[in-house]
Amino acid sequence: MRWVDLKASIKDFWFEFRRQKGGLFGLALLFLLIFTALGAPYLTEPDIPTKWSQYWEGNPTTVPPVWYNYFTTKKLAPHEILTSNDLRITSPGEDIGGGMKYYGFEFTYENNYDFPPSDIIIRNIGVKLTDLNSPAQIVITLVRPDGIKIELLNTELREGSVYQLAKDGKVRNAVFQWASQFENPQKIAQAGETLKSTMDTTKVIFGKAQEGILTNPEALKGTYIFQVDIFTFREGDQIDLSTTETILSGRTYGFMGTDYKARDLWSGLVWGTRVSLTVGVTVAVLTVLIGIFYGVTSAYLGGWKDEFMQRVNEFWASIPTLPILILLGAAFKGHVSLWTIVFLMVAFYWTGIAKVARSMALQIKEQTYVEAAIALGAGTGRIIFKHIMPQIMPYAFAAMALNVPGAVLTEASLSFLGLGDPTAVTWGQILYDAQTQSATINGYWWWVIPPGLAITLVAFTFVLLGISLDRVLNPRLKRL
Amino acid sequence: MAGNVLEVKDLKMYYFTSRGAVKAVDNLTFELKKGEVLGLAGESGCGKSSLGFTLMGMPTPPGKIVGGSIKIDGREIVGLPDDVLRKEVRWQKISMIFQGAMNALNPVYTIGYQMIEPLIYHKGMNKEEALDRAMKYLELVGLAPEIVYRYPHELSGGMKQRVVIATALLLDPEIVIADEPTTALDVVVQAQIINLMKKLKKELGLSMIFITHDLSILAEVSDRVAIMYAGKIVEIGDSEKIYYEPAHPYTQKLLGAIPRLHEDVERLEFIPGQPPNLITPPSGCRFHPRCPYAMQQCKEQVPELKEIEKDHYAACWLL
Amino acid sequence: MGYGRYITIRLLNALLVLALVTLLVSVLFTKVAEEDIRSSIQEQINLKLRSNPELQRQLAADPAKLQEWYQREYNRLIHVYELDKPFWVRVIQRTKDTLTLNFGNTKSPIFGETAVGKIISKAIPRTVILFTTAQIFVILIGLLLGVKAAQIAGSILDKGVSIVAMVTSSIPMWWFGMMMILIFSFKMGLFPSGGMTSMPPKEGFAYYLDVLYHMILPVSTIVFVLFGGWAWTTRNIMIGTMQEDFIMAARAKGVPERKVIYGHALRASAPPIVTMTIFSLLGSIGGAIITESVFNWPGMGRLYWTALQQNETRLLMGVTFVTVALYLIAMIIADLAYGYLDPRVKVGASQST
Repeated sequence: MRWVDLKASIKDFWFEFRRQKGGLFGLALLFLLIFTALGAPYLTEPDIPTKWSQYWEGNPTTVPPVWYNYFTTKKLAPHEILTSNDLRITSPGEDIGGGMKYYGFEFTYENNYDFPPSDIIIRNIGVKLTDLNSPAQIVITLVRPDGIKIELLNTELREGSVYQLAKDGKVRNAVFQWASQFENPQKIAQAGETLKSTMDTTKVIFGKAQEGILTNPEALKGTYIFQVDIFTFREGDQIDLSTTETILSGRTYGFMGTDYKARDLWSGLVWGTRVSLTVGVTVAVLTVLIGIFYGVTSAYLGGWKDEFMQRVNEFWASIPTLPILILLGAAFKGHVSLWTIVFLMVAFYWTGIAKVARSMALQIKEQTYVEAAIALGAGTGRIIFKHIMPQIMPYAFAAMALNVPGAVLTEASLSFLGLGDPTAVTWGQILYDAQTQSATINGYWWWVIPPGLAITLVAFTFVLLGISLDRVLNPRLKRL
Repeated sequence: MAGNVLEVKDLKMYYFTSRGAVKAVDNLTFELKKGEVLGLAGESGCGKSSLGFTLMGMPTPPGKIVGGSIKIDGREIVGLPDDVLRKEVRWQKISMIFQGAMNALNPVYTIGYQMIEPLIYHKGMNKEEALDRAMKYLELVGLAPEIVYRYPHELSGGMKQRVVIATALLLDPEIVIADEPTTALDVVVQAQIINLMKKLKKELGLSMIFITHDLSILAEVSDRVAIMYAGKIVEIGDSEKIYYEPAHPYTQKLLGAIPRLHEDVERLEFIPGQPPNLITPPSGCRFHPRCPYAMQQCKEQVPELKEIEKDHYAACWLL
Repeated sequence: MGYGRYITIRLLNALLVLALVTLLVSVLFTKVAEEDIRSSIQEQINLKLRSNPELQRQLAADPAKLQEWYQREYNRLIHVYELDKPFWVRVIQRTKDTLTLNFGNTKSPIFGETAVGKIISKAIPRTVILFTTAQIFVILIGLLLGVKAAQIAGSILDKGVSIVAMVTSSIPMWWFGMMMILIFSFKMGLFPSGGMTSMPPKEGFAYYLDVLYHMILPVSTIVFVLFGGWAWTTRNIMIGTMQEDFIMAARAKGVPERKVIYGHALRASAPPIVTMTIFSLLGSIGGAIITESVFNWPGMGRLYWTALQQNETRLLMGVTFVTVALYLIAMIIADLAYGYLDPRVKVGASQST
């Protein structure tokens, strides 16, 4: 094919394709998907794949996205991280005699939410102790908007200490003690222990000081000040506040919320695009190439070779794909890589294409000019590549696009069965986790809806492209 | 005019495609006399096959009759509701012989089933009567009556063509349109079918429009011949006249392209260029880009059909 | 080729495929099972030692004796589980067992049974109730819509069918099931989120109503995801047929349009459509593998999930074998039906087209 012809035929193709509204829409979606896949490290963080399979320390588990607040009347606190820049140092290490030093800082939290943060975590305080048997002391005090001051915690501070206020037993005790004064004493006497163990610590901390604070706390909105006082007892003990981090564990998180491992689902969604596209497109392209090669060769060879190749094809085609893929996946369980999955899918999907390619090649072979070329002594390769292939290519392009959705759905299905690549970030796997954690029954919609929509979107993109390509490139169907 | 079974006037049928309207039949006017065979010839893609279905009031989608009139036995059929057309016109008044060797027969029904359909729907016959009549007509076209129990794939191309002919004649229609009835057949069978049609014409006095691209066949069967080019009739007249004294340059070229056995021809002529695009046909005379005698006038003005001698019309500025 | 001979050849071919697939799967699973059994043998020995204080006391004194006892137990169990036989012998044995429907037992009871054969025969009717029912709806709706759309090609209905088909064929069915549970079970509380009956099951007529009630969500899921594709395929086949010359011929003959569509066009389109129907009906017995798991429906599909989760290799083999066998039966019946419906090809039709 000469360059001019190629240019002309591309122009011609574009002229027809432009009229396919679905195709143009599909093309737009494709660009969006490619953009997302390529931009994954910039849209989220570059190290997502390596840390995906771990628990994401510091994030809240299974919380909905931040924008969920627009749809609810009761507002949920988002996830916030305060660094040393957000802290106000009240004492940078004042010497208070006897080798003791006093460090102090405070931070404020504006609670405008009906559901306050689920936890308050203070960590990464740089501590250097001279004597490990003599730890530093930390006192955390809360000043509420109504002026009430509560000492939440008074405990040791060592290197690497993390204070999760909502999970801490001492905090629970202190808060319970404080809150029970507002409740009916009879109730406390009767069911005190149960109330203590079932109360939601942060809801009480951020609750209105009134009856019912333990059983049914109502949020008290306003400015809360957390004062943290640290005392060291030995000369040479050092406290460095510059690395200190305070996490207000949100009841909502990010664009897409989190799952049970506290992973940011938005990152999973974005990175999942890569896997889905790569697997889908690779499988489709390989399937079509192999299928066409097999079919054309079979048709070209003819005779008993053709017959034999067709038998092999039929045998292969009569193996039902999904059960066998599941079996193979189970056999490789735990150490399946994405490429194994690609390989398995290609191994089972090429047969249909081969059949069509063969019958097309047979028809083309019958055409007079091909017979003439054979009579003139053109070589096998020349016949196949010069005469047969160019006529099959339009079919091939459409077939490639039309094969992507199947591959995408199969990959997702395998991942959903827990048979995917455990190291890859895939949508099927996110849904697998959702299923094993009973996300549907618990109403974790943000965990279930987006990955499935994403799978549907990728499949739909290629359905649109495939059908439009088919209409343009295989004009027999043009009238449809 | 008395004795005309079919009068077509200014008929326009366009295909509405995504690239624009294809003017497959454009301002066509002609008539068919009773008992006459009118041959309709032209290159492929000139609109002659589109005309066949259009005359039956059912242009192939996405085609639509845009204007003009078709009168069968004096009755206007353009604009008739489809229901009336189906019940009163199609097959009753005007029937069609398809290219039988192609796909005109449904592969999953027996020959009998497909032949008796018109009898049942139009004449209200029961199955036995209908089969009886179908068998008679099969005999008429030279086939064994038992063929009614066979499936199309069990017959040869020639046999299928005879079945299609028999089916077309079942209701004694006023007009029969034969759409390339011999095209897909081999030469010997072609000759048999032509002879059959000549015989039927003589015996039944058929009025027929015979559509083909093969001029040598037309000379055999038709009384008059119309030559179509790019959706228009460029010449029409007695077949002898057209054959021996073609007036239009296109007809001359077309005839020059036929190989003849008994004449020494140095080389076969061919018509340079390609049939025009019918979405944006050439201005003026549609043949002018390929015509060796084209003049300035040909590019600007559309030539009308004019009588150049008695019953011989042609549309050309040369005449 | 005669009909009888043709059927025989097809059957033999199917049996060969079945045997080869089983062999292939057996190779895989003999390998997987071996690791499985070895670790289970260790556990059994440890358990035996721990549950027998007498023995413990005896052996604790002498490490050599312990070692010897341990080895003896190990060898005994290796022999019991036939791990002392060569790999290929075990593969062939397993293939033979599977082919003779001798699937063996599971490690722990499933559906109250341990014999794989019994488990499967309990699961099949449940899947038939759910999936085959749904499939029948799909086929009926799909056919009617598809024919209608083809009849008025280009209309709003036709475009609607195309769009619905494109969208629904992109949806993973199991995910749609999850969505249905989320909406209709969690949010609205209208339907149960899974299972086939309430717990404990009801008695008498109420039992059947209960099962029907539990079927609503999964059946709607399956029907919703599949009907569009069916309608669209039917439409395309019909439109292909309606462009044939014989349809124009029938119209020209004055055959009423309704007869043209439902007589000529539908009858001529029947072979591929009937083939599709046979495949989906028989295929449905194998269950919608993942969708059943999502709805916790105790059928064939659910068995796959359970077998995978609990590492029940024998069950997995059994289920796969049944699915493959059903698929092959469907192929043969479809082939024969095609030959019956299309007079042009008496035999071997679906292969050449």
